[in-house]
Amino acid sequence: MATLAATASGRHHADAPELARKQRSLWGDAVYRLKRNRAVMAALAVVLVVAVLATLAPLIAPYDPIRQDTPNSLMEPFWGNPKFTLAQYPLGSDQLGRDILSRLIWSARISLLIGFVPVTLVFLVGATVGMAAGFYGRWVDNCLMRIVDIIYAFPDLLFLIIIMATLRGTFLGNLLGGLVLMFGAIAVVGWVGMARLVRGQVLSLREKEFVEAARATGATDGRIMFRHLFPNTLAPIIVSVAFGVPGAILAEATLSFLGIGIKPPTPTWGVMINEGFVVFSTTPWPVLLPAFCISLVMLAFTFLGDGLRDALDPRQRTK
Amino acid sequence: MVNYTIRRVLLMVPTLFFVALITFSLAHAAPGGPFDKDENKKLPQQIEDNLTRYYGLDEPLPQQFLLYLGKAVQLDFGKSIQRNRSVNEIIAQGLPVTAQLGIQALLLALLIALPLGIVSALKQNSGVDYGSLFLATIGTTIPSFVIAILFIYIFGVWLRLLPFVGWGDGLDFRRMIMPTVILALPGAAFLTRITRASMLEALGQDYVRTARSKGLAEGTVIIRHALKNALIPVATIVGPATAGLITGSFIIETLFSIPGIGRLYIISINARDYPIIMATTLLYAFLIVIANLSVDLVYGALDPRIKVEA
Repeated sequence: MATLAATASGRHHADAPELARKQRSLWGDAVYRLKRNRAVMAALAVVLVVAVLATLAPLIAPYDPIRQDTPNSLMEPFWGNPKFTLAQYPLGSDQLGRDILSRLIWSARISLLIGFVPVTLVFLVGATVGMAAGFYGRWVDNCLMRIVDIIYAFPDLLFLIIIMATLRGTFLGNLLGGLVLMFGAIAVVGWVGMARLVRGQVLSLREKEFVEAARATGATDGRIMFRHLFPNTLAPIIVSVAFGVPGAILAEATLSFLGIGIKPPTPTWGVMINEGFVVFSTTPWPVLLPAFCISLVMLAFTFLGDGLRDALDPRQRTK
Repeated sequence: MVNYTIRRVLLMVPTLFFVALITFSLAHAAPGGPFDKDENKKLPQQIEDNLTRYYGLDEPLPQQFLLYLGKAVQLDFGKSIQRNRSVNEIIAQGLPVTAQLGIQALLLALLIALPLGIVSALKQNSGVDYGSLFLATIGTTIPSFVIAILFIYIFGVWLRLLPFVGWGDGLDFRRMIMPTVILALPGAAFLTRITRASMLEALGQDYVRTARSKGLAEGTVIIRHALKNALIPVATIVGPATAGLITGSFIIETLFSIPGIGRLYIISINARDYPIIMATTLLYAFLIVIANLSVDLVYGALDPRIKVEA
């Protein structure tokens, strides 16, 4: 179908340039490009499946993810040695006899929450600060950007480790098994990148004629920022948000794997790998299965991000 | 240029100051102290008070901070709380291991990335190009601890080819293979893409066409004209690469039980050993600031078109 559309438009182009293509808005064009990108569609399918599993986890998961069945611990998945498999645990069980399939499904919930909640915070704070700094300039810009520079000088993971490690024992660190602190930590580390991005965009836009025109018609600062500047910065913001999602998922998995992320018994893929590593050399599946899930979700979100970048800004295409 | 260098070096001071301030505040915001233990093994009150006074933990926080800074400037980072040795001594023991691992990984990354990136650019859409794209995708998206686990499983547990615990004396080649390769992979992936992109851009420039039209040999054109210019953007990656190696070392050293400062850092964080946490964080921040600074200075030297505003 894609090729048909391409040849059709090519022929039109040759015969009658004025009929070359139906007019499409930037967004319509982006959707069209996304639909033609097979990697993006496959990635989208993976993300949708994971999202459905995560949402319906209480209905789909066969067992409570923290229910222990100690006599049946360390069962192998159904393709393993038949002597050590059990029909009720199709993907086996971990060293405490917890059902791995149920734990994997419930982990998807945490990963998606971690993927989307901090990114929303990053967007709200980063875009506001960047907009204010870029638009007002002078001392506002100076103050805000000095703060941004200092946080930017810290490597992300190092800063995350410090925040998580020090505040884990506090009240904040105990809310929802550490989930709330994790949201906050990722947002605190991440908003500076967004602020720099939006500021740069606003700086290049604010001297443009359309802003001058808006000002001439008597638009207020707020109106100029939200109705004129903001929509024009949206494309790079969307791309940045799209890459923020796998970044946050990776951060949670890494921290939980190091033992300073989400607190057990809350199941997350990182926690599962951390706990399963003790028995890894004899029973690898409790580690390999969540490792596979993380990789799959990371790949899917990264492909989505790549696709969005290519669709929204064709000039930046890598090929 | 001299002015610029001096200004940049001076700008390092506030950055390091704030890094110290943030780490210090966060470390002290955490509940629980270093002498917290099991109820049964609790220290007698008298001893705990003495220890608290010995480490200066009874002073007001701002005073503790200033005291710490004063000493830190003289490179005195105090004594570890968990082990009865000076922080300098403990770090000096782990640093060579981490440095060796990091440098090996950086060299390996360059050794893989430069040839691969150049060949991918010269032979666009060839097998090598797709191979390098595959490597880059894997290296940048799959978390390094997941790759490490797969390597340990395949080469360590399954094939029993390579040992995967410890570091030995730093000369045991077989022990080094897995940690070095895995630490190098994300950097190699990223560098390959950068090299390819900037090589492609250089090959499309007018001066390359000029060189060709003069009748220079293709090898000369590629190496002397295109590559030399293509490497400038690659040089800027050294800053982020240093940060990547540091954070990578936390994971790799923990996984492979390598006695470097990355593992020390994670252990100290879990044990709330403030003096070690503070000193290591400052050391990391210092290394990263230095790496970024040298990149900016070298960048100006490599590319005369870039004028630094003095």
